[in-house]
Amino acid sequence: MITCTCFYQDGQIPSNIINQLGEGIENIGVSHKLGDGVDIQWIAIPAGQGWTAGEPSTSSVVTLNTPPIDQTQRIEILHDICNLWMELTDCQINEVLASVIPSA
Amino acid sequence: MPLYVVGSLTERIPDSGKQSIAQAITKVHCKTTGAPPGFVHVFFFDQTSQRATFEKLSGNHVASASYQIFGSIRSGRTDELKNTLVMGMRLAVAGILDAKFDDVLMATRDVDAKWVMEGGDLLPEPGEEAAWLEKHAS
Repeated sequence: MITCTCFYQDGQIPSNIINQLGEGIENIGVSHKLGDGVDIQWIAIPAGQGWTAGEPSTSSVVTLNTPPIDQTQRIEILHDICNLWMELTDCQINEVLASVIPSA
Repeated sequence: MPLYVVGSLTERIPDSGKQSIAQAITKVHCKTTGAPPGFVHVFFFDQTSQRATFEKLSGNHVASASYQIFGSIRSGRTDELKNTLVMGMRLAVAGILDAKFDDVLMATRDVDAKWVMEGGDLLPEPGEEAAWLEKHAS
């Protein structure tokens, strides 16, 4: 099972959207044949604790740990994550930081 | 990217100081690397309930100290540059918190540029920053 850590600013994303994002991440795992399911950890950053450019942050940080994959597939997955976030949360492209990192 | 997480072992960081700390970390990073501030993220996990989260994020790379900073930064930086980042941030944060320099410890880890997408683009590889920065400077 691959793992995914998602930081988001508390209160910015409703719980029903969180659920949809989770389903979307799982679908990404399935479509890219990454393994048997995705263990997703959601970390809400309380107000006053998230900062970007020295101002209150509106950014989400999504990190997916995967088995070794080639760079072409990694880029596809990164775009899938960013598009998922923009589609479901209405965030701007600069408000989602996505990483796809090979598991140690 | 970069993502700096700030934790506290013994005391909570006052809420009134967090923006100053975030701005100081951002300033040091941008001055040292030339990166635009818009991509510098600083998240605080200084509450007792967040201790486990901070330790997981920092991978226990930061030795026990009153205040701890852990930075995930793009790989390809020289040791000299990373040392400048670390020293600059430790000094700035210690000053804001009125803490001793040795009470603020910091570690960093490298993240390959090709693993990360921000602003819709992969991060630039070392030496390829100019075009990327020109596109994302705003």
